[in-house]
Amino acid sequence: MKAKSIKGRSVEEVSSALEQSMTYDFKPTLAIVFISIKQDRNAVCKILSDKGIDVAGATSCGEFINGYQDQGSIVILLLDLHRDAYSIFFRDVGNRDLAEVAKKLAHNALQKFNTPAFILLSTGMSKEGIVFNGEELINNLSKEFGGKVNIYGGMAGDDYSFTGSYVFTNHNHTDMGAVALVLDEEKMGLLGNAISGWQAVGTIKTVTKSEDDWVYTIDGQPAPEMYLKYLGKQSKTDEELKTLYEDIGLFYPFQVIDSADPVMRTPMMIDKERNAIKFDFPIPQGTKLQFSMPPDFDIVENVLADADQLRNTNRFEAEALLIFSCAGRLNALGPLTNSENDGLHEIWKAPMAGFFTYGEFGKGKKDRPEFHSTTCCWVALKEK
Amino acid sequence: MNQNLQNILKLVEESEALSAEQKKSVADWIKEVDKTITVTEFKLDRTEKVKKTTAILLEETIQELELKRKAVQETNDALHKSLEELKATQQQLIQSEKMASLGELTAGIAHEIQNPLNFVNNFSEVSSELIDEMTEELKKGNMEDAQAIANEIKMSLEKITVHGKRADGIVKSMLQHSRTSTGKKEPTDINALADEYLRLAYHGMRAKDKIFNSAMKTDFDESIGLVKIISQDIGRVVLNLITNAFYAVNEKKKLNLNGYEPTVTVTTKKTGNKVEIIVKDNGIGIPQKALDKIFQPFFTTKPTGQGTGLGLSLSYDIVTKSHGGEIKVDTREGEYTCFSIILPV
Ligand SMILES: Nc1ncnc2c1ncn2[C@@H]1O[C@H](COP(=O)(O)OP(=O)(O)OP(=O)(O)O)[C@@H](O)[C@H]1O
Ligand SMILES: [Mg+2]
Repeated sequence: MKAKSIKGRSVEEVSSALEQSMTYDFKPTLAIVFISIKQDRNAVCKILSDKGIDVAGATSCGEFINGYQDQGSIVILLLDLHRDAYSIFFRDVGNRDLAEVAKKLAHNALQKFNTPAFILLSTGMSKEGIVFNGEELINNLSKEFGGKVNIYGGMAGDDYSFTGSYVFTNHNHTDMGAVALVLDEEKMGLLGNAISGWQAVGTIKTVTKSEDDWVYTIDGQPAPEMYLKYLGKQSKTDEELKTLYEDIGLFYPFQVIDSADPVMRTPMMIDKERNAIKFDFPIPQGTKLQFSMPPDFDIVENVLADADQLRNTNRFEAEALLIFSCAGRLNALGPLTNSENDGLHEIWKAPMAGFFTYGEFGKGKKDRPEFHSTTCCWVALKEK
Repeated sequence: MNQNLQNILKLVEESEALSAEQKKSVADWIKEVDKTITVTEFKLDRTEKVKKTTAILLEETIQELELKRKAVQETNDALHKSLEELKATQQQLIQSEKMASLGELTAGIAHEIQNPLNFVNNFSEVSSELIDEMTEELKKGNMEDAQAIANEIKMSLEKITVHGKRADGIVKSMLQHSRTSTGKKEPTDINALADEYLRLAYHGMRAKDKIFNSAMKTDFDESIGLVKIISQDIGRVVLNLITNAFYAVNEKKKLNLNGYEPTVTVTTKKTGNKVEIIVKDNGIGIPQKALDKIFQPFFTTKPTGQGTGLGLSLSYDIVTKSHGGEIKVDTREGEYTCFSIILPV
């Protein structure tokens, strides 16, 4: 397999980058596209389709390839891979049962390949502001394989605008669904990991009043007040509150610590009138929460050291690299995300593309694929 | 890019003194510097933000710690109080245990008093008859016979006195047993004490359980003499041990083993400056896993309501704490148990 990564700040730029990349010995069959919602997805898809290239793509909160990172742009990982080795499934989920969707997807993948692996791109939030339950999707999908399956990917972003994020193929797109690039693991090798670095700190708190994803009081106190207090901002104007998510929501998520494995829950917005915080997922009353702090700066070194070790122990030589990095990392680690992403590229020495996500899919500490947030999730690919 | 850096970059580009190659190097360096500045600025900014939050979280954690400390303090106080209450209850229990053992004794005591009383009654009757006979003889002027009868009367009266005193002794020791310990050590005949409690315990058991039976053996070292002990306390220890022994042989008897003869032996011994009281039984013995616990207060294998499990714990305290002695146990499950009290003299 040959791979090249290209980028552009406009359709034209990408178009010419594509022309340049296609040489006599590089004829890409597949394009993995990460694109800002500000760019014309359809135009990009058309250019790729005209060249007979298959598309699997997602919108983003910032895009990057080796040596380049930006927001509002287009990046593409081009793969020259035999069509026997992969297949693309598009699923417009809407409000259908995710368990059912996952089951069918697994079934279809197994009809194609004995050992399918998934590059899974799902939407993040719909036009109506409904968060896609990526957790349920990956858990169900993984269950179909008894946890023994490779699934890596991310949830699409929308430049923190919350106006809707999309996944797409050459001719289809949805704001509530998923695109699965299914690889034949008999022909393709995958190796990846997901590391967060966010740490729960402070006292354990209890949600005392909530309704679906709205949390009204925590430990008997108005939730917004408490949350803002942590941020050292007592009161905020409505305008300021709108940008809260971008500012801090991803910066300081809450960790739900009821269950055996803590999960992140991210404040999405504060409604002054309701005097409540809206989270990305429903939070039942009685939930135990802990405030969490962004990772130390040395997390970048940890992510890289870990990747290096995985590479050495598995003697894996990558031909391409995909990175799904939580949008919160961009806030919390700023320019250090450059070092993280480029550092991973340095280790694998393979063309890389990635984007800042609203959620990541991949194998982390556990021995099965999981849903993550706040992680840097990467997967290295090679043809066997 | 930082304005100053931009200025430098511009200057370098316009410079004629530098070669194109040099210009490129300088430009690269400046880009590196700019990157470093950006990262540093970001780190500084983030550190500021995080610092604020950390301070608030820390404050909160301290508050919670303070609350927890208070809660712990309260729990501690409450614990202390219940400990005091427990001690008081224990004290009460000790007292009622004493009363209970007194109750157990009553039957034995009644039996013990019955004997001398019978003697007293018999000899009174006999004396009365003898006096009648003597009067007859005197009337007949049979002085010699009258004299012989008078002697018999005297002997009879002496016996009455002996048995009267015995009853008196029993009553006294009962009173002594129920009285709270004076804590005063008095010279005591340990053999007599052991003998008395053996018999009292035996009759106590019999009174409760008609079919109870056990051989009793004693082997007393007559050279012991008087030993200074708090007699009612040691009395209770001996009583406890003997009661336990009878209980153990009775339990084994219930197993209907062929040729089993329940036997409880009480031995006293003087060796050097130590006196030993040994209570041995051929009862059910004590299993290894219970052995560690028998001296713990409230440990009992008796059915609920039947034992307080205080007997051995109290005995232990009496022997070790107020007498500076030792209490030892040797046992084999299903075969025998042998408790020894070793007291310094
Ligand atoms: N001679 C013995 N043979 C077998 N087990 C004994 C003997 N003496 C004591 N034990 C065991 O030790 C336990 C504790 O004895 P202890 O005298 O302290 O209490 P108890 O006899 O159970 O109750 P209480 O004395 O109040 O009637 C007994 O329940 C019994 O299990
Ligand atoms: Mg007892």
